[in-house]
Amino acid sequence: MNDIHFHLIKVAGYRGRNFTLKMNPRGKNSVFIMDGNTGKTTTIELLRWCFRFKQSEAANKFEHMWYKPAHILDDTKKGHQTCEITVQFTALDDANSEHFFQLRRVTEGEFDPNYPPIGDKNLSISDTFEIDHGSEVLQGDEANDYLSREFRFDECAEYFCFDGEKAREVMQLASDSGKIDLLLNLVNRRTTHPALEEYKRRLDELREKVLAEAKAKITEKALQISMGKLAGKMRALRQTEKNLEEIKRQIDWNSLAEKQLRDRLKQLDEKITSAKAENVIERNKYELEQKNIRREVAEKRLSIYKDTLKWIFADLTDAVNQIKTEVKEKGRLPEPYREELIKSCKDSGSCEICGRPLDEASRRRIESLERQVAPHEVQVFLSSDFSIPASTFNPKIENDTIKRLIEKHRELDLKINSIKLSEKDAQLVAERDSLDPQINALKEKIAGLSADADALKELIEGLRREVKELREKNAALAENKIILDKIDESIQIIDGAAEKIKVRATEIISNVISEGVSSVLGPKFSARLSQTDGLVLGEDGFYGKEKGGYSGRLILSYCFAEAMTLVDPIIVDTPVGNIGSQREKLADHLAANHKQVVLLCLPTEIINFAPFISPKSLEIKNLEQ
Amino acid sequence: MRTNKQVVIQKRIDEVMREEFEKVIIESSKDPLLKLIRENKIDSMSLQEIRAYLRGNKNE
Repeated sequence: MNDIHFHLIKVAGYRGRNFTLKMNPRGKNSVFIMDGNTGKTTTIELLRWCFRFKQSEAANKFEHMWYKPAHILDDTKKGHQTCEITVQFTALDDANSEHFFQLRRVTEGEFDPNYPPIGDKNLSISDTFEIDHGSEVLQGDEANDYLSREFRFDECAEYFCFDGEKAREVMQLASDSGKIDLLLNLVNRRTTHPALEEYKRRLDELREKVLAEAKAKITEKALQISMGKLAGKMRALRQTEKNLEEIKRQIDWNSLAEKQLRDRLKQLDEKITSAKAENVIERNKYELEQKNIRREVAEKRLSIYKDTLKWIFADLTDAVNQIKTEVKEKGRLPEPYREELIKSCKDSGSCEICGRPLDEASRRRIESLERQVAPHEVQVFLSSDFSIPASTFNPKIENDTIKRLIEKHRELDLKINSIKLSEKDAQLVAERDSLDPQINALKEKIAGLSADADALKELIEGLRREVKELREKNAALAENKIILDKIDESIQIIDGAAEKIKVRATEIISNVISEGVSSVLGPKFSARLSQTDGLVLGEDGFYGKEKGGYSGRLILSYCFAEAMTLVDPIIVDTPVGNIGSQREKLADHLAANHKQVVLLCLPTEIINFAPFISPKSLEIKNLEQ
Repeated sequence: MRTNKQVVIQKRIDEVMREEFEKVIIESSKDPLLKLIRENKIDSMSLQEIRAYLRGNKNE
């Protein structure tokens, strides 16, 4: 099928979008004006999702911006919901007859934000593919199989549905020398060998002619049976060889997908490691703060112990003074003015107060009283007020400070405990976790395909031996043996040539990209795709990753995407974002080089651009369902 | 009048690949059968003529 023309894309319910894009008829381009957040990117991503993934493999494969996977249901709707996308297109067969095709993908389920991994719960996806208005209807995986086989949509969905995100991805791919292999893999998958198939077909026809002629001449029953057997084996051989080619194509495709996933995994691991390193830095900062707080609290407590005496005695001043007064007034210690009385008692030998004569005990008592006379310093001490020097120590302030420090320590504990990956980082981890099973599934698939390929190779070898034996034994073929042997040799030469041409294919695609770049940016610009440098832009014959600035490299991405797509139309989301002054030239380039251009433009992209693609733009609003 | 050069990307890649394939076929071998296909003669030749052609080619 050739000359695909998209007629209609109808979105109903997916991510809350409801609109119909009705394209202009065959031979005309279409421009749709869609303001921000109306579903441009959703449309592009839905097309990629429908064409890349068959029904049985589509769940949790929808991507949107940097969310991989992203939800496809309406996240504002509660309960069961049904979403539907319809894509109608026509294509011409070899006889130039137009055929109608319609793909319809219906998704049912319920959005629950807590349902892992993305909230799409109880998903059921069903595909229906209609050929020529219902003359043939394919269901389920058969729909995607047909689209892949007849149109190779699965291989180029990323590029005929183009957007800024993909352009940035291509720019990164082009400027990363570590990803040249990936880039060249993409290029190799793009190469087709129309001449190869043509040569093989002609050789097959010749072989059939030989067999038919030989069969016509045979009269012997045994020879006829042998001939029938030979024809059957040869048909089986051709079919097995085709199956092997298809399996090899699938191995290449899955290997590339696995490599892309492994690259993404590596990228995510680096981001997560970096996020974790930031967390460690934050934790260390809080722990250091806590250490300082503990030291400060210890110092405060020590100073409190040191000043304890001061604040313990502060309340005892009055009591001490009272004791002193008591001792002074009632303690019966002799006062200095009693000294003469004691002396008089001793001299007279009797008590001067009561007149009683002093016995020996009384005499010793009076003498001891004489010795107990307190010295002057004691009298002064007892007469003076007891006081403690004033202290600046304020226990309440100290206590409040310690409590505040302890509270801060607790807060830091909470902060440390709450250090975990941010929501964005958690999404990275979730994405990383979802990649491992995908990579393993791809590895298993590749291993299975490789085993199938090995089995087919063995089968082919066996069939070749059988065919050779049958041919040699069949006398009717003897005279044409020279032709049959030569056909085998020629096929081997063709297969060898296909391998040789791989390097040249890179050069051819490089030249096509370069011509595209020159047509938009002007003759002094070119592009080069090579094993050593990847994809680089050139200015006046000098090539480099920094040449052309952002807008130049964006144009390079467009041209790369154009070279990578195997089908027209080209459907572009926000086509002139960051293109700068190259708008008109890009519009001219797109209009000149594609049979159908479908643009999903912002209102700001009309000037100097949209009218060159289509004279009339159609404004699209998102309708309430 | 707009004068943008028409690259026709997809068709062009396939066409150039076809040309290159032809070149590789010619360069890599003097294969007589492929030569007949390339010169578009094979369909008009009988098997007898093809046999004679191949034998003649073998003797050269």
